[in-house]
Amino acid sequence: MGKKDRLGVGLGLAALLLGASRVAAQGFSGDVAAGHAWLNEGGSLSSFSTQYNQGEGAFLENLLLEWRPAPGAAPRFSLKAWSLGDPEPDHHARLVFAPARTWRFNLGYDGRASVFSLMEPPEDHRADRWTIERWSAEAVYDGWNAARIALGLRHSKRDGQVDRVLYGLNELYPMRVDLDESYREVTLRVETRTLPVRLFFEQSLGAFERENRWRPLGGRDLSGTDPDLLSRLETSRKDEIDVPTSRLGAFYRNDRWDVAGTFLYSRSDLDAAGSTWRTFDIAGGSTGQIAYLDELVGSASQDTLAGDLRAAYRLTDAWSLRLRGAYRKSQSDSDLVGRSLLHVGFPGIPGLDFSVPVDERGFFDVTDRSASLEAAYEGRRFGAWGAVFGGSRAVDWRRTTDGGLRSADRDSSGYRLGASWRAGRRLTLSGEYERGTFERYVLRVDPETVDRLTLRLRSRLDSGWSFSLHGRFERTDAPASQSGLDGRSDAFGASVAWDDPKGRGGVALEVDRNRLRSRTDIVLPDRAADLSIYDLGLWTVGLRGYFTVGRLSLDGSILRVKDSGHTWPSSSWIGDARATVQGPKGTRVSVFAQRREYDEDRSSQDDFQVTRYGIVFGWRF
Amino acid sequence: MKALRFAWLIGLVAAVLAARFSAAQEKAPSLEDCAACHEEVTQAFAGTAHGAAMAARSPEVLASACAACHRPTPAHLEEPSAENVRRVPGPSACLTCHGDRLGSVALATPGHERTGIACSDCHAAGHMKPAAAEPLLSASPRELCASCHRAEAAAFRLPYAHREGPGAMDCTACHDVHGLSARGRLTQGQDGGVCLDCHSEKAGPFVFPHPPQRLSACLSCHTPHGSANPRLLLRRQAADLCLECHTRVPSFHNLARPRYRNCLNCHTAVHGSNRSAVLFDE
Repeated sequence: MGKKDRLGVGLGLAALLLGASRVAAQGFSGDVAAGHAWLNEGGSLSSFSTQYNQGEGAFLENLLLEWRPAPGAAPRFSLKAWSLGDPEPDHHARLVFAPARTWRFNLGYDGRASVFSLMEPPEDHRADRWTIERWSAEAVYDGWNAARIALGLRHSKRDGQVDRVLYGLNELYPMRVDLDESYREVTLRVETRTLPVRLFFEQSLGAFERENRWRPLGGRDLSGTDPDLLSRLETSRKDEIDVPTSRLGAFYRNDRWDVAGTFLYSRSDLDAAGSTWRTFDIAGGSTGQIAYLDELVGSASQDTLAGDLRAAYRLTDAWSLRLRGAYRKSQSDSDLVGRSLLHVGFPGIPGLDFSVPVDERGFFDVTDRSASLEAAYEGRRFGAWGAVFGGSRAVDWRRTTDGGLRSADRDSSGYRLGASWRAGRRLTLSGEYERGTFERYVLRVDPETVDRLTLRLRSRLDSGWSFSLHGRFERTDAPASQSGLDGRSDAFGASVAWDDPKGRGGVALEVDRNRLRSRTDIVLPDRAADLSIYDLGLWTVGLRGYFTVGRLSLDGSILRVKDSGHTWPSSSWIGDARATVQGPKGTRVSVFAQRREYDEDRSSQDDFQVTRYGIVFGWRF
Repeated sequence: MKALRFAWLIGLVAAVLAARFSAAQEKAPSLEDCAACHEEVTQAFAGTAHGAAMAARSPEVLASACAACHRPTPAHLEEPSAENVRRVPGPSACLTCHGDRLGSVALATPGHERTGIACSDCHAAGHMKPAAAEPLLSASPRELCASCHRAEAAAFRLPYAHREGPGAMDCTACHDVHGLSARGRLTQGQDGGVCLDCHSEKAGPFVFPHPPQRLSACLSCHTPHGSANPRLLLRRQAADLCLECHTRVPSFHNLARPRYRNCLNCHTAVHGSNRSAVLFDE
């Protein structure tokens, strides 16, 4: 959020506060909370920003403004905004305006500021700092008995910078990409109400544009020792994608049947055109110059046809059958034409140009089919289900004109068995075992078998106590002739919580364990066999609570995450505490403190210890 | 005598039919009728978001609110008891009005159906106090989902995560519990489509697609909720991910030299490229 935005927010807030007291008696009500946050940082602030991106400064924590024509009536106007201002990475606002019962207008805004900047080896130089802003608007007409119609607009824009490296003349040169990406979409949606079969039709048209620009950062290579300089790096590229999508859905329900079907057709068209210049001054320009110019026009089109049908049939009060079938075919064709020009220049001598024509054509087609049949028994306390499922995938592709045609097929089948037992809301137990087997593979890491066992216990007692246990155990493997994949994932945990039935307090303790081990055979570039091993051993322990005593309310949480896996052991602490005192006439004041710690066992470069604290003033009117 | 018996029979049938007809004609009790005993609840309900939404549709809808969900039998009006009214309405009560969601939970999330998750497990009736979150939820979506989906909730607390919060990154920002919403278009059109709702620059189509992006979408390389690894990758080093698929990397990639240990230094366009068959740049 820039200075102008901040000024706008500040002025808007001041006007709102001044006006609110005058209009409160005229059907307006609301709540506003604003404050200031401070930051005490230790360690790597860029690593902290990569994980949290919280900062310091003034911010609008919450704003709610509603207008009702009469007490108890639905709000005709509602404005909500939260987390606005530099200290928070995510910003949100929603506006709803319903001038009449039949019309409603919605406006939404979500912004996010993202940072990625970790301490990595120089040759892995990569730093992102960008913002994405997403606007949405919708007009809904609800005045007919037979149908409801909605027109929606969306716009999102990402801008900022990405620093990375460019490979040229056998060296790596730092470069910057100035981002300019946007997406616009308009959607018309019609839903029927009164027909026996409910229908909806949705037509959308999306348009994506990318006009990112490149420039060198300094010109020297990353090591700083190579005498050649990257003196010019520019692009005039512009990528445009249009995506019209049509979707039709139908839903029918009676005492025995639930049937839903959807059909989708989409065609995406890409036009990518523009030139790129990369110029290197050899030995700083004293020896000569090498320039690469690409003048290329690319295009791609992708047709997607998809449909699915789902049905549930109640045989008796307890027994039911569920059937699902899905089909999707996606075909894309692409080409790239133009020329690549190499210009070699020497001081005092006419330069030489070498031009290479580019004419590449490829395609990528995927067809997926899947179906499942499930029988389920649902009694008063006991439930059980069993399902069989299967599917197939067929892929054909050719990357370039010279590349060979590749085809791959993969079939899958499996079953699922499960049972549940419940005593009202007091106790629910469920368990499910699922096994899938696959024939052939498309990607090398595709598994041949997957086994998954899930167990859950949940209990809620009238006295406000609740507890839960969960476990999910998964095995994936593939034979040595393929990738030798051996994956094991064990996730289990428990939680216990107490909430005062009158809402005056509560406390919860959560403990989770996640052990993930994966081994895959790999082949190194020198053809030597090796293993890719990933080992994660996470313990997550969280404690949180809230209490209200008179005008004082306290809430806080503390979380410890410890990864003792062999791959990259680390640990972190996340702590939050907040105290709020209610004042007269709807006012309140809060103070908060947050602690964030991150510690890697093998390096301290990305470790941080950050304390953030602040004060927030609020007023409900 | 025979005629008399026949007349009695006709009379009896007529009486039964009349009684049934009159019962059918009996009007369901209105909000005002219920207020005779439940005044505090009915008054509070009319002022809540649920009541206000009903009133906005029409005064008749609000007037029939209690009966629509709790289905009191005529006996309940005569002799009120928990036996002749539905104290906790089942899902069918909600679908009376909300059937136009164009998808029932049974079809959209059969797992919820199997384990007996009902509307009231997540939604508050909002009788006496405002709901904790919209739309009429008894707690925030994250808290509600986490009560069963504990492993996923724990993943959000890892160092690199889609930090959950109200609005953009609630569970319901990506997952649609009830079925056919606008997000269905994204997920039906492409695996991982819901990710592309925000990350639209990675949607393609590309002149040179990267097959995993087309086949398994984002989940080939990323884990969606949270990870111990930067960029929510499945492996700490991106090169491990690459080498697990690519077994014919040209031998000039000398791993003894640091520059070759990170494939993404040169192959930056891992999601697909419009200019480079080897994904050198976007």
